[in-house]
Formats: sequence, C-alpha cells, structure tokens
Amino acid sequence: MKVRFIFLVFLFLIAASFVFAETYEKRIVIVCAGCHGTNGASVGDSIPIIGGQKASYLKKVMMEYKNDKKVGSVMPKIAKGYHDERIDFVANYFSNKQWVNTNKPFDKNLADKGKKIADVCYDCHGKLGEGIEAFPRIAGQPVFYLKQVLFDYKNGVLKSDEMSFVSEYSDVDLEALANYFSSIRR
Amino acid sequence: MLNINRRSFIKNTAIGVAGLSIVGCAGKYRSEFIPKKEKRVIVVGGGFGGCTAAKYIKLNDPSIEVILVEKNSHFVSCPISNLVIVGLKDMNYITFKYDLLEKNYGIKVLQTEALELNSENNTLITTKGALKYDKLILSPGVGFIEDKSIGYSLNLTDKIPHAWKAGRQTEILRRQLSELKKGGTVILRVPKSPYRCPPGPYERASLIANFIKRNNLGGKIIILDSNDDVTSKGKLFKAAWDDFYRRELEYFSQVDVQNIDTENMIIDTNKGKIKADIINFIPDQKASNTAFKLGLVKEDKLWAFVNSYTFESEMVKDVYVVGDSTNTGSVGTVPKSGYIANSMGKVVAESVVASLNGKTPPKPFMANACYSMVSDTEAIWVTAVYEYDENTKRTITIKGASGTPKTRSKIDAKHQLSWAENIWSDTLM
Repeated sequence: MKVRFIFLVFLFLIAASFVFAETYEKRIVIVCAGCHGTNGASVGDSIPIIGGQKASYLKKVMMEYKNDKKVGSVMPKIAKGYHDERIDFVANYFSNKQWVNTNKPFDKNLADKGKKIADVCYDCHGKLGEGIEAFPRIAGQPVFYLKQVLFDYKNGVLKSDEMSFVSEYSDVDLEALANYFSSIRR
Repeated sequence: MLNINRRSFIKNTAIGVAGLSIVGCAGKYRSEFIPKKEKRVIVVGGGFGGCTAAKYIKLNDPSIEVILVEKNSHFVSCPISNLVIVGLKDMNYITFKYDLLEKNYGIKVLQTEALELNSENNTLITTKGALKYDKLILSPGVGFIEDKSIGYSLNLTDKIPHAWKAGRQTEILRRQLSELKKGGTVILRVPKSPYRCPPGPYERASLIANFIKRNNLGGKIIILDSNDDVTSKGKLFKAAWDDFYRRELEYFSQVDVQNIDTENMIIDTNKGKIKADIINFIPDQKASNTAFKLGLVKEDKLWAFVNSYTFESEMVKDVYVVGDSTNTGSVGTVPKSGYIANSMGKVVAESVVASLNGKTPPKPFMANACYSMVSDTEAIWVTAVYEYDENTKRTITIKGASGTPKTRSKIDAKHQLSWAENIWSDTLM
C-alpha cells in the first residue's frame, strides 16, 4: 500500500513537472509567432513556415544563426537569446505542429517547368519536397521565400556544399523550382 | 478607491468634465449585460495587446469565457500606416474585422466603451451595461497630452493631424499629402520620449521625403524633434537621409515648440519660426484615457504601473495592464511597440490562466522585431529578446540578442510586409 502510494506520488510529480516544462517551453517559443504566425504557420511570403518543419533542421538553423554561420534578417540576433535548451524547445515545439501550406499563389507554367528538373532535389528533400531529417521540408513554402533562398545560394549570400549545384542553373530554372515545390500542397 | 482614482483622472487628463458626466448617468448602465456563469476574463482594447491576450487565453484554456470590449468596429493597424499615408498601400490592407476571433476561438467581441470600474465587486461598467469578471485585462493603447499653453488641442487634429492612431487620422494626413503643392513644406513634430513606436516618426519622415522626391514636388519635410537625437535606429535613418534626401529633408533636434498658429500654419520654436503647408504634430503621450478613467494610473503619473512578472496593476487587484499604456520602467527595458504588445498579450494570457487555475505562471519571456522603411523600396530593423531577471524583478534585454542591421536593404522591405501579415494573423486570426 505504502509502495503504491509512493508510486502514485512519483507519477504525480512526473506529470506536474511535465506540465510545468510544457508551459515553460511554450512561453519561450510562442514569441516566434509574431513573425512566423500562430503555430509557425507563416502567411507572409518572405518568412518561412516553421510549424511542422523537421526538428533537426530547425535546430541546425537556429544553431547556425546563433553562431553567425548563417546570415539572415533579424534571426542572427534573435537566436542569441536562445541557449541550447531553448533551441531544443523551438525545434520540438514547432516540429510537432501541423504543417499549414502557404496561401500565396504560384505560377502554374513555371511549376510545370520546375517539375521537369526537380529530381536534382529529391535525394535530400524527398520526392514530394517533404524533407528528410536535417534537410527541410520545402513543399508548400511560399514561392518568394524559396526563390530568395535559391538565389542567395547562387549568389553566395548563403553557403552550403549541398546547395552549390544551383550555380549551374539559370535564374528562370531556379524560379521554376521554387514554383514547383511551392505548388505541392498536401 | 474610486474617489482617489477619479481625482487622479481629473487631475491627469483634460477630459475630467466628461468623467464626471459618466458618474452622473452611470446608473442606467448598472444592470448586468451578459450574466457571468463560468470563469470569465474581460479584455478592454482590441489592439495588438488585447486581441493577442484574448486569443491566447482561449488557446491556453478554452473553458474560460473571454469578452473583448472594443469601442471601434474595426482594427486598423498602426504598423504599415505610414505606407498608407504616402500612397504605397491602401487603408483596406491595414483594416480588419474582429469576426475571426469570434469564429475561430469563441471570443465574444462587444463593440462598446468601458466607462467605469467597480473593483470591489469585480464589475466593469460599459455603455451596454455592467459586466462581472474574474480577471480584467486592459490594453487600451496611448492617450495624447493636450498643451493649451502652446495652442495645441486635440480639437485641432482635423487640421493638423497626428495620425498616431491609425484610421480616420491616417486618411486625413494621406489626403493632405496627396494635395501638397509644388515647393510645399511639411512639418513633422516628434514627441518627447516615451511614446508609441520609437522609430515611427522617422520612418514617416523618410517616406514623406521619398514621396516629395518621387513626385518631383521640390518641397521639403522638416523634422522638429523634441528629443536630444533620433530615438531609434539613428545611424541607419541618418545614413538614408544623407544618401537620399539632402534636398528634401531637414532634421532638428532639441526643439521646443512654443506656439502653433493653425490659422496661418506657423510653428514657433526655440530655434525660430517655420511656416508649413502641412503640420503633422505628434503630441506627447501618456496612458490611454481609459486607463485613467478606470483608476489604473497613480496620481501625478502618466503611465500604468504593473507587476513585471504577472502584469497585474499596482493599483487594482485582478486587473492587468499590457501594451503601450504600461509604465515601461515597471516592466523592464521593452519599448512601446506592436510586437511587444503582442508578446505582453501572451505573457498576460498565461498569467491570468495560471491564476484562475491556482498555478504559478512561468517567467516572462518576450521579443521585439520592428521594420521601418527608409524609402519606397528599402527598410531597416531593430530587434531584441527579453527575459525576466530575478535580481532586478524586471524583464530585461538578453545580452547579445539585440541590435540593428549593418545597412538598409530591399529584402527587409519585403520582410516588413511579411512581418506585418504574420503579426496581424497571430493577433486577429
């Protein structure tokens, strides 16, 4: 009986600490929604959707911003407010949210053109652009955001070995790829 | 309590007489308008702070009844309103209904005005009747200080608009600017800090200079700043003015306006007299009149003091104040911005939900991100992350997690609009 009581107290404490941790975790991450939309479902076309994004990708990106290994707008400053535990909160919290596709329009002709050259992206991002581990989901992101990222890689603003292939593609091809992956809304 | 509050209201605001008349007829508003059955939070003020608080209470605990009290029928966003004034965006881009808060979260939105607070039995008197509450959150924005000694009264705002609350005032200034004659002069007066949106006046001045230049008007905008220097993003604004607007923009700091002659459109200052075609006089600011009216501002003070952990008023139990009306010092190092009001809305939502459920809320954590246009195509920004500090009992800026960009950019102009669309969605949808 005594053992059972102690066990119940133990269970209660675990549950209470979980609730507290969840509340504290949420407190740390919901400020992001001011720029990225509630639950990370961004409706702005230059700011990425982070709700439902791969956790390992979100963690990687936050660490890169924090350590000035990735350039960005406000993010390299903001990430410095997040120590490692808080970065885990961000990654866990938003990766557990439901992905909501962008509501920004895409160009169907460019999307069709992009589909024909998209296989170069499949190994890392998946055949439907769904993302694989630290390679992000790109399907359903806004066209403008995807295009900007591709151009930034091409122009050397962003640096990555995996993305270095973009230098072999024309601007129109990259725009077509952005339209194709944005058009996959599932 | 009520007497003390009312005295401070009369002393602190120019509309004390209106306050007395409310007491005179408050009797007919005392019947309970919507009887309280369950745990209830009333939120007064449908701006960034109030709407976010209402929405996030429902997200944290849907069983709590939330009533949003707002006197206007629509939300009109101050962020982006400077773009509307110079014709780069339309009013409908920054105007929203409150219907999605009702539809998506079950928040009752009441278009009515808060008149009086009976803090002894947790009752708010509104123009539609009395409303009982367990917790009351106030996010009423800013109020303006009239200064009759220099000839400034809020009755003049149709002629010399401040456009510091978006809506009709935005439209007046937009129309005046669209009718600006060739070679015309615009005066923009920057209020004494603290005021809502520190970079706002300088963004507006940059955009008006850009408007004059783009339309070959050959005129100029003169900034009369009451502060010692540009209060936010100073280096970046000045670099843009130097690069783009040497002919169109003149900046003067430490300016005291001594008289405004609206008939002849002449401003008299400690640095001389200036004649203008448009006077955009942004007055000094204080907490909204609603905060005074409900007794939330201490005697001789201009802003509402709060507990920096919970946002509960230092004056009245079970009443919380967020957004621009709070005394910044009592909160910490945060500015009066839309993003901070949105952040505060989330903190206060957790604070009241925890309190209603007998729990302690987690420590406050907030952020600010704010973009300003310096031309029709380029923008700059300022950002910071804040956490609650046990030693100072205030929310302070996290070291290293704040700053501005090295230079202006086109992509940040794009980010400004995406930022706005997202903060509108996080606040209203």
